[in-house]
Amino acid sequence: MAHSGNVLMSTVFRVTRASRVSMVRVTRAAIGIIALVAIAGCGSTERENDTMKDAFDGLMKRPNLTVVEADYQAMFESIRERLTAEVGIAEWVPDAEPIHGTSCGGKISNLDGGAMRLYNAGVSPGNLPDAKWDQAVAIVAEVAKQHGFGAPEVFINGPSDHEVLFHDTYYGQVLFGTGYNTILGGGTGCHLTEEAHRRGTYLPPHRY
Amino acid sequence: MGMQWVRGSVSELLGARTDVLDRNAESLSADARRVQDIRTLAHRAVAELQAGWNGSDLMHLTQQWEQQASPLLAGASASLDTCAAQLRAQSAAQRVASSNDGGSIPTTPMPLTPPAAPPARGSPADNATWWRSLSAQQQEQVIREHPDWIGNRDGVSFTDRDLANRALLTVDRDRLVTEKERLEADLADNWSGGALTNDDAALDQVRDKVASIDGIEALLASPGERQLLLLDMGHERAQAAIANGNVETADNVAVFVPGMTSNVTDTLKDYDKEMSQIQQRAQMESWRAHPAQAATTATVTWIGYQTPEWGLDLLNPDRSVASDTTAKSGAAQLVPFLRGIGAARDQDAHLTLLGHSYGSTTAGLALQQETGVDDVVFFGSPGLGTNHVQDLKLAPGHAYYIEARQDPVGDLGILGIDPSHMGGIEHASARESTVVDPVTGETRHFKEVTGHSSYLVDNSTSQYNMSVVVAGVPDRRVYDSGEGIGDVLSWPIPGTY
Repeated sequence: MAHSGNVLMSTVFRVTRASRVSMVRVTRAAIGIIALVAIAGCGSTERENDTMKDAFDGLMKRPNLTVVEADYQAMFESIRERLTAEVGIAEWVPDAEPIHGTSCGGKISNLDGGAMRLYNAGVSPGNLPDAKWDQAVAIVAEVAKQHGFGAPEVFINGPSDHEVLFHDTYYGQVLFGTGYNTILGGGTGCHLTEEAHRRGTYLPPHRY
Repeated sequence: MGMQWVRGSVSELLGARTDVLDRNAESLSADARRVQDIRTLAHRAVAELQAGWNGSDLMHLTQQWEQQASPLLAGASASLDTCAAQLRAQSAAQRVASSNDGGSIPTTPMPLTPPAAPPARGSPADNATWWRSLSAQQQEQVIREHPDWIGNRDGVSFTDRDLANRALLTVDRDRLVTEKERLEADLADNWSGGALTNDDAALDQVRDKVASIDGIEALLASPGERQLLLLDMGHERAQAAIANGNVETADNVAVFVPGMTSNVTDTLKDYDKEMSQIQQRAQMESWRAHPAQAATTATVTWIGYQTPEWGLDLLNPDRSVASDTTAKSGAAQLVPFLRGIGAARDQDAHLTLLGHSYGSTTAGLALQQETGVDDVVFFGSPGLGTNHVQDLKLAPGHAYYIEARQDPVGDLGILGIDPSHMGGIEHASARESTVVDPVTGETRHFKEVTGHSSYLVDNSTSQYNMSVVVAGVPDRRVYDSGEGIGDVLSWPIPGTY
């Protein structure tokens, strides 16, 4: 009998405890969902279209993607050549996939004619010695500046381990670093393709 | 006997006149059709018998028909078709050879047997074995003639799944456009506007799926390597998985599972961009951190389940974000996909799972089974589907959690306790920080993200932390417990978990 009583008490306790946990979870869920609704707001096709049209008009003021791509390639080529010639680092090894295209992301992911490019501009085998790091950054900064990029922003800085970022006014970036190997890469901001830029008018996403 | 005649004839016919080859091919095709007709007639006869006869004798006869005679006739018809195709190929090859070098006999062997169908309910390992058992020509034949066999078949080579799914995009688009036109025509004649038949909702779904195919095709047309690893139009919303890089050969592979309201039409492109950036960052970090320079990275955006939505779904226990039902369903799809990565590859990859929001619950539930995953990064999680990190089938110290400030979802703790309080989980930061290594003097500066939806922002602390885990150098991550005021409220009640 005592054993049965213990089982009964134990069961009652478990149910009570489970109920409490369940109530806590449901309350948290309700609060969380209300918070989410509050921060997410309600979207509409019209509003999305307005956002994308505004973005398109803004992007019309930027150079088209073909121009930007040529500019980046010229910049990377110049950086690679000067680092090899002036700093004496090993010859650059091209990446198997040097260019990767993406959408502009976020609320303008589906913007017709909007695109970005990511670049893996090569690897120079081996570490770029600390004694030459500042000289190398100065060269990259000088070339990058000619292509509209600002001063270097230090991302990582330690013995035999460095990485700096340069940004331009279109939210593009150049990434330069060294560790076991020396890397060069980056990505453009959002630009219109040559075709969309020539067209000059916003096309809403096709609705079926 | 028949097959022996055919094989002998084929051998003798090598080098024969092309018109003779073509005539024999046509004859064999006609024979194949006749065998197929016999099978159809016999099938009808058995069906008629079943309509007016019952008992054990009929059962025996039906079994004999279904298990022996019918498959034999189908096989014979297929064999005749294969021989006919071989003769046509031989004829075509001979025409080319005649124009090049006067008609020497080509030596390329032709396929004699049609590819076997895949195992009905095969595991990823079974599927991998089946796919490898086919010759290269048979694999090409499957991709060309039966892409639906392998497009979503976990364990099959990802390169070949990509080819099959790209072919299926066209097939699916044609089918959906036809369906759209039919529904539009029906609705035009319907006085209720489809409210009584639900055709209006069906039309919305079909239109959305066609738009999703547009989005997928746009991504596949972008520069750089992509693989379409999953394509499924059989649900309310489209499901797909797209890889940046080559999942079959990359040294590091990361699979991202997004959460609530994620879908192919509206959010896949955004996630693809973020996964492209993670791929680039991880690859760069890998090159800087490893003496070997050849490490490659592939990232996958996996939308292989129907994620919870806003609206009335919130009140539906089977579809609500407050319930783990959808996450369980997603995990059931995710587990074979992950196992398929190991099964399809010749060499093991370093495999990382990234789970955001409700996707972290899906990922947490999946990891309670064997998946082949080496590391996992959860971020902004309402719970991992468990209260104990030990339930995840990972080596100790390989589960990471990131929680940003002002992320209310990260403090919910409704689908398992708040991971911020989970013992044994490794923490990584989302905050702005300048970290100085006291030993080396190394300085690292990172940008903060706040809220629930910014963890993947380029150059942020959280993105960097994910990329170093993906790259296999997690010791380079920036630590932060991620605890704020919300975590005080979400502290689990001792003894209740």
